[in-house]
Amino acid sequence: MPEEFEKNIQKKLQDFNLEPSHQVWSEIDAALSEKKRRRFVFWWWLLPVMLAAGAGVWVYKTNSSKEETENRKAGGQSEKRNTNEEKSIQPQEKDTDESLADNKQESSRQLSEDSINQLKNNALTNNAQKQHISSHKLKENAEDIRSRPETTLMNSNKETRKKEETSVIEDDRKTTDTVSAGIPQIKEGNTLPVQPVKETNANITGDKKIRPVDTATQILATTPGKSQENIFISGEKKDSKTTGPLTDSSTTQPTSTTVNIVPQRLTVTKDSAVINSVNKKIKVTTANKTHWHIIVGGGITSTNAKGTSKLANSASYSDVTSPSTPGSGSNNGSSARADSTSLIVKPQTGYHLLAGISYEHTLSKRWKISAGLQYRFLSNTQKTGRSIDSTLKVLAQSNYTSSLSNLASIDNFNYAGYSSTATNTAHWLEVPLTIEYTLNPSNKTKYYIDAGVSYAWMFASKWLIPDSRYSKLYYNNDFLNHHILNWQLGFGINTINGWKFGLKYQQSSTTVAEKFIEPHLRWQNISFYTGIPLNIKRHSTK
Amino acid sequence: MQEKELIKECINGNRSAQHILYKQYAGNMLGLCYRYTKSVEDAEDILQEGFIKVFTRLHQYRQEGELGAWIRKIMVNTTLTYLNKHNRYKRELRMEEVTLHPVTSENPELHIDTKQLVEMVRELPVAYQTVFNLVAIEGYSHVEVAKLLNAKENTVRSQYSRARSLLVLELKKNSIQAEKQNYAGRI
Repeated sequence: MPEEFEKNIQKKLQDFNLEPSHQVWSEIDAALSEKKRRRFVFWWWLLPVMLAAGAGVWVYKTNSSKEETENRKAGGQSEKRNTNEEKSIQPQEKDTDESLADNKQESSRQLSEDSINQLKNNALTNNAQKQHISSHKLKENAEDIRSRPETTLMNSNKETRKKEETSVIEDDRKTTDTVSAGIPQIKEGNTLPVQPVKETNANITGDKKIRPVDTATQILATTPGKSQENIFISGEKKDSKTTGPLTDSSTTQPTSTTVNIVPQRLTVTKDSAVINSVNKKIKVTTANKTHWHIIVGGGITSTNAKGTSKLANSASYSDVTSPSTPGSGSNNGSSARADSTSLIVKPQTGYHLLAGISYEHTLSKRWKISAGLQYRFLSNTQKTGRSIDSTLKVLAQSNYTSSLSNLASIDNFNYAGYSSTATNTAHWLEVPLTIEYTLNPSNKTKYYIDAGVSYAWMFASKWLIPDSRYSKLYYNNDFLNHHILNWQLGFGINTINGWKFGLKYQQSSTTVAEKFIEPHLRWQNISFYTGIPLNIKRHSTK
Repeated sequence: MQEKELIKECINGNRSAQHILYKQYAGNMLGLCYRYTKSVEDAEDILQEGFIKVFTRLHQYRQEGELGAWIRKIMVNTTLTYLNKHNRYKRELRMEEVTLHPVTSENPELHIDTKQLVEMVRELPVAYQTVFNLVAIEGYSHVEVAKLLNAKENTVRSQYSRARSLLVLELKKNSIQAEKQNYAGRI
């Protein structure tokens, strides 16, 4: 009976047991650990990258705030200097006043010393606010000014200062409005009555001059961002001996007679750094001994078998050569060899791309050390023979004399040959340590040579392992070395702005695959890289 | 440790709990894998792959049916995937129409050793072996097998009948041989 047959079979076979070998569990164990590790790898490789990015941002911000602080400090010093400068102006101003008194001009409201000081203060404040006040011809309006008492004038000056402190004048019209708000009746085309002066040259140290203006007053300041701001109170040059109205951007006093005055210019700078740069530009550099760079680059990747290969391995390596054209060589031009030849073709030269962050510390004028964190993507191609979908047992140990129990099972493999091409890829997370020697420390563009070591962790890879012991090639992540130690040599240029351009040769002391696999291939990278400074030095010539 | 606790520990990644579970089912599952394959190594590969699946998907087990049945199902699926993946099985797993043969009503299967019976099943062509294992031993219906193997239901039916008749034939041969041996032994 058919049903009975099935039942009997089921009974007999469903409980059929076989004892699996111990290796099965160990492989399950390893696979589960690997899966767990991969999960960690998937998440944890992000951590250093994010840390590096965070460090970069932090360093950038710290440097920016440092610069700001330095600028502020410099600004404070300059303000002090300004005050001193102002003090030095006073005697001259007094002289001016004396000369004005000498003229014995009758005036009920003279331009007081306070007003002059306030004018200067206003001008300084203007500079600090980076206002642009451009080419306005202001004419005197004696009647308007006369009608105002001095106290009003003073108040209006204060108002002007306040307004100027809080407002940014964007265009000429706006500027005029703001100024006119503080300075009553000073409008385009208006005439300002001023205290009569002789040729006045009220210097505010160096470039800072207040010049009495006759008919036309020009207030000019450079746009924000420029190194200096100038306020010109200028007019036509006239005979200084004659008396007449003294023009001032903020305060004016009416006089009864017209004064011909030499136009004078007031130049005030916005802060110390800029004050210093009135006539001379100064070099703004931070004396930091540490620098951060973002490293980007790329180059060629290959594997070589030089180094510590034993004689036997060298013999094995002799197989790892590029074939001449198919059909040539040992076959003497006969038909192309079968792709399952025992000839393992040397991996072709590939490429790599790198990106990362580097921290540099200056030890002395010539010596620097640097460390960093880099990500490197490597790829190359490998010629292989036929792909075989079958299990290959390979010896997974370094000692040949030991038992054959240590056999690793590889699911798929390729015969040695050249009929097909496999693309290898690897991802490294690398920590380089380098010492740098500057050849010409006194020059602006510095040449350097460097040497160092790097540790790379290969966190993902699909790299075909050529195994000349069996003349086969296979993928096996267990056999690949994931912890790679490299030594490196290079040279490069450090530009005046802190940029770096260099060429580096790197070779691993660790083999690509485990040492029991022959040949002992080692990583070899030649990279061109650029170091972009996170704190770009602003440079200007003296 | 109770099964529920064991499962919980396995889900948490407790390796010793996983080892206990493995030990509990590995023998039977290897027997299953062995019936479908032609070598112990292949069976062990499937067992390994299957148990990795079991441990990584154990949280999906709803504890409605028996754990053994759930693991068995995973093993069967893993086996079928393996057979389809590897060329040496894949080529033979092609489903072709075969002519039906009469089936004997005798019960030679009762008189044969289990190991021998398994070997007989394994000697069947891969397609027959697979269908026979799925229908006769795992208890899948023809429709289900057709779905699993991506074949027509009729094809599965005919494959199964062919496998069954071949196996019965072998069993008969075996029993006749055994009888002869017994007879010779008596003389």
